[in-house]
Amino acid sequence: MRKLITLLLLIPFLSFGQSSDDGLDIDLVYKGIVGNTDQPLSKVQVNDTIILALKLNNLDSSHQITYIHTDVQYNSAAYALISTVWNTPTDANNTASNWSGNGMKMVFSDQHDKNAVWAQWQNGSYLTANNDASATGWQVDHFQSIAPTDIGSVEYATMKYLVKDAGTSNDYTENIIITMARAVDNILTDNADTNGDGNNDEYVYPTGKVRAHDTQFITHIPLEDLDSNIYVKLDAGGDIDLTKIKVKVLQDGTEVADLTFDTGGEVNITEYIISSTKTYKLEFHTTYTEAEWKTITENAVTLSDAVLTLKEVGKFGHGGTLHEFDYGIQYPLADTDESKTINPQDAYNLLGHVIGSFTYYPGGSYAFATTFPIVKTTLAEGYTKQNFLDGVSTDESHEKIIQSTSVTNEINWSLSNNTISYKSAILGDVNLSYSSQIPADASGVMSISNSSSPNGKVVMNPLYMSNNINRNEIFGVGVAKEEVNQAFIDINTAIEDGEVVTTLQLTSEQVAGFQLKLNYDTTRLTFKEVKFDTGQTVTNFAQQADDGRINLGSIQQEANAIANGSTVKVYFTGQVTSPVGTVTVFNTDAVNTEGKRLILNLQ
Amino acid sequence: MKRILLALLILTGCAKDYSIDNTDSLIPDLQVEGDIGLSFYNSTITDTDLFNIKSPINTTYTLEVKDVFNNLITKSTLEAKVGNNVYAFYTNAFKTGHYTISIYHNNQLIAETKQTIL
Repeated sequence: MRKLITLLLLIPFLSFGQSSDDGLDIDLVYKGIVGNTDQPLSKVQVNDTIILALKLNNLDSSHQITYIHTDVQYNSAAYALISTVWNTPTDANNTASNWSGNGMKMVFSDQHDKNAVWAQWQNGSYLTANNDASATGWQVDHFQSIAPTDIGSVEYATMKYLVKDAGTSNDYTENIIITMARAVDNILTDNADTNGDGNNDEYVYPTGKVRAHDTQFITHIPLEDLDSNIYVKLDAGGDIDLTKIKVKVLQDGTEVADLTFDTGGEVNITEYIISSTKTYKLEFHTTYTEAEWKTITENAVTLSDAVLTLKEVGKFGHGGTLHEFDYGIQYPLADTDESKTINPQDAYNLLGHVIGSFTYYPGGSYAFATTFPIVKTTLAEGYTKQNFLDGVSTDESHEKIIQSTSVTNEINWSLSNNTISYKSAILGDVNLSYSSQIPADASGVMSISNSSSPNGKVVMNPLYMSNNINRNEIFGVGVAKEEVNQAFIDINTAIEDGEVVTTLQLTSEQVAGFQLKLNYDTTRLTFKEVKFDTGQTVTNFAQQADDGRINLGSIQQEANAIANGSTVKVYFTGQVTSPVGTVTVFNTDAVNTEGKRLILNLQ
Repeated sequence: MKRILLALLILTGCAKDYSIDNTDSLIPDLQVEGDIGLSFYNSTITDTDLFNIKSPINTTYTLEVKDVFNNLITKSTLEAKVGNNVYAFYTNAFKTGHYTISIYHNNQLIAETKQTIL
């Protein structure tokens, strides 16, 4: 599609006049702009300086070129010739000269092909501004070289033109065009005696054998002079591969680019934002398969998220506090019933989701579009609990308007660089294990946003000290990323009495909950049952997902420790000759008796 | 020959004594030099590929599979007799990738190899 669009853009630029075949072709070559020779013509802006060259292609093997004179006409309202560089033999006499003055325009002869420029030299004519207003502003320069030796098939003259704003009413068609040319071979040994005087004569390339080809002219409406680089930055957490996330750029509703983020989550959209007045929208999407994305959500939303939410609503342990979240942005992630408040139902929804008894995701779908909120960084970092309670939207959709008549503050055209930054999360990832991290000094940090202490002290994050010399204190409860402790479970799969049995044994103290997800060879084994030996007060769960995975775990909701040595045995029946590889573990999570997340290691 | 042996293995089904011994002549590619060790056909494992644990005694070995991040993915207990013990390796429960496979006896590392599981 991009190639087609490129071709369509270039169609006005290309002139498909025929070649001279065995004469001389002169090609008007576009060579980019000063500072970026790769810049396509379609992206040239006002105040860029374009580079054009006159390239000779001598197709006459019997003659050389020692004289070449090419006329190039241009609209001085749109372009201004700045300089010419020559590539001709030593001692060549090169001249670039404006001979028309301001106000002369070629009238091509209709008796010859337009690109037969030696024929046009002899048969064309010119309008002048004095007698025809349409010639106003048009000028003609000649680029002539007279050389003692063959000039050859080279870019003999390279010109730089400043691109000007001729206004929207200007007709930019063929605003730089080769109008005429003459070529001669004065190396007499090449030539015959044509007048019978006994001497060889100069050879003038014949009528119809000097042509402007491949390109005779350029037609381009320059873009606005916008010199700001524009980047989109997407932040994510966990194992999310940002190179599998893409963003489309839409201009007035039409897609103009579909770009992949680099490993750092950045993409440059500068070349696609070409107007300060059009509407531009971003649309995020992914190349993750549905199955891959579901796995990510399963890895992101685990037991520790449910327990953290239970704690937030005082349902873990004996009446825990009601302020366990560290960041305001955690509230919408935990609001599973979308009631705009965090209540026990949210916690139980999350727990049920983790256990696998149901999913609270919208429509029961694990789709990327509905489970991956993308939020402006400034909003995510500044979002407070009060914002949540007040119903302030986080605008989590994957479509973001970055410029329109009503959105004017995303791109500051006076800046050399604009970075439009977003943070992301997985819906339900309350502890942000797979979500963007919030800086410790952000206003959305709870210890900062809840800072209206009665004694007037400013409650601050401990990473920040007062710079008031009279208040040499460090305030606040702190939200620096906590060290996550570890727990251990011994795992073993063996064949016992003709059944494949995976045995899990907790080998750590102070563990109040754990969760594991097992894969097994569904082509050979049939899941039979799970037997827990975890004590009387522990809530156990084991759920077989549609894809055959086993989600199992235990939680002691009173926040007491599950006994060290507790075991879980998972039984399978089937036909295998060894247990090797029949059962694997792909996700684990655990919490301690304080409800804090533990890294659960298998051993 | 490998397919014939595989068919024999599958027909055997779940059994406590699930390895195949006396395989010296059957699986020359899985021979282990010395009295003890681990051998695969090559560095790639596909479903039901065989491997050999050579043991100097009748005992139990533990086989561990870890991913590239050194996370334990699975662990199995294997009973072995003196000599060569050939087992099937099932891969349907794995993600394709690179893994380290280790054999332990009484918590002592006996052999270790890096494999690509397809």
